[in-house]
Amino acid sequence: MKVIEIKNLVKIYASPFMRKKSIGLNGLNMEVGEGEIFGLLGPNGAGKTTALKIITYLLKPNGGSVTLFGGVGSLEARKRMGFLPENPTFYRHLTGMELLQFYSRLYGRNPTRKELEEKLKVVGLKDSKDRRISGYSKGMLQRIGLIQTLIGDPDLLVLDEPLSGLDPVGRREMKDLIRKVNMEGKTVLFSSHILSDVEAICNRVGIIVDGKMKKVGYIGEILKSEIRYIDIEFEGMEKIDWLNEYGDLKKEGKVIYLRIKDTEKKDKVLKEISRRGGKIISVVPQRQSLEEHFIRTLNE
Amino acid sequence: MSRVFAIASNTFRESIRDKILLSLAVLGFLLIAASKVFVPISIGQQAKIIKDFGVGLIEIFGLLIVVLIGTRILYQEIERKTIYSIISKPVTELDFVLGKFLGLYYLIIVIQLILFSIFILFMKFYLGTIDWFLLNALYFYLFEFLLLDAVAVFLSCFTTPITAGILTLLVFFVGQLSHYLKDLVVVTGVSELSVLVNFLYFVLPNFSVFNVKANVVYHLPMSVNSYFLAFSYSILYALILLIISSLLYSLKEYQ
Repeated sequence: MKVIEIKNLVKIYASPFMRKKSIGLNGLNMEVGEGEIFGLLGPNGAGKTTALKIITYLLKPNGGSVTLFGGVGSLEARKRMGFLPENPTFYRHLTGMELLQFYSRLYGRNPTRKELEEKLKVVGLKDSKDRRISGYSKGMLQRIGLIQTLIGDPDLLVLDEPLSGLDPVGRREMKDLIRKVNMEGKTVLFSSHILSDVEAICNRVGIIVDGKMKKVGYIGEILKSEIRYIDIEFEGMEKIDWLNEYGDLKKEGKVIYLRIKDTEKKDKVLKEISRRGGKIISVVPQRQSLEEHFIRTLNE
Repeated sequence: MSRVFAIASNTFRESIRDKILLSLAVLGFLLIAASKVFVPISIGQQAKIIKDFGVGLIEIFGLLIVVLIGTRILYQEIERKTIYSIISKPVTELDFVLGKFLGLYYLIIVIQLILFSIFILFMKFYLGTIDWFLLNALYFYLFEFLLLDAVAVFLSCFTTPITAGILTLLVFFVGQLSHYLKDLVVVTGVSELSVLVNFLYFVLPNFSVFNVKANVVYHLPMSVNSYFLAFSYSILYALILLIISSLLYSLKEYQ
């Protein structure tokens, strides 16, 4: 089942007092299937946050449609969804525990203090449960923000830049948590600028440029189809000058490294090395990173 | 309704922890205590002046709470972006508006009860007796501020807190003089005013319905109808305003 189905979504921002208009989304099409971790990429102002806010009912589209969970009503959709906004802010007068109690009640739930303590423990905030939100650091806000998205046991998590503002340890914990909730069956849609993180946890990514989806695909497929060169490591050969025509050559002690740029010549080179008595140690195809792919897509 | 009560109790808690409320509470206490100042200079009229002053002061204090806190409670949610985590949850615009309205109303009830209790203690202390008839004022105030709370929530749907505060005060004072509005055309002789006056008379809430200060201080008779009118008028008018407010909120976007 498609958890999110977006067709030709248009959002125009218009100032009420000026004639100036800016286009937030310009015919966005997108689908997110059940159980996916879908990463939304795009430069600043591409429309990522606008798309997420329309999905979570914070903005209204000027055209197109968003269908959630096959077409349930907005209240039912909101019951089945958890949202973490970018740079989240919460009620500063509440403690961490009180905040979770409040949000639980919005879902008609009344969990015990112990149950909520367990949730806070997952993100390392158990000891800060009675501290007011006004005293939380950005990383702590991000972490309690993720927990509040889970408070209603939703099927879909919509996370806007969930990894921003976190230190490396926090980022790793957050990624582990996203993976964990995904393993429990929850669908995750998130936007991020940190491409290595997207590459590490997403099944599928979509690149938004100027309010349109420019490219969508499975991470593996996108990167597999883009082998840029092949690194061959071998030993046991003295004369190697003949390999210069195939790529960059480097010798460190007995070990020789060859980087082949014309990947189609790989088999021929490997055969020749073996024939001349060389011993192959490793053959590693080097794929382009998501970042390289992303920048290339932007420039297309 | 659990969502409405959750938002209401959160709003109440937020207001209780607001520094403005603390300042107002101190001010209210000091002003009630200040009624002592008037006692020596008005021998023979002590009881009347204390009662008049106290009842009037409690009303002004309620008005200040609505104007200074009530007009900010919705705006702050948007300004601080805390509304993002509310609207994206299974909460309707009506739940949200009703919750904010009720949260402020809880606060008004609690503050009014506290102030009346302090006032009763003062009466006992200075006059040696308690005039329980004054509690009629509490009944009318509670419905008056129910309506004023709804007015503040409604106005803050489309204006800034300062504008909403000024407009709320204006609606309150014009509403107190509502029954004089119709006389305005006769007194001024400008018949062109009649359309505007009629519009204001029927559209603006009539706060004179709740004005029983003279009755409670001088023990003037009050009809059963006035109690019923205060109750029904306040609830009906507030309900209409809150429904319109929730419709206005459903049109809002949160960028």
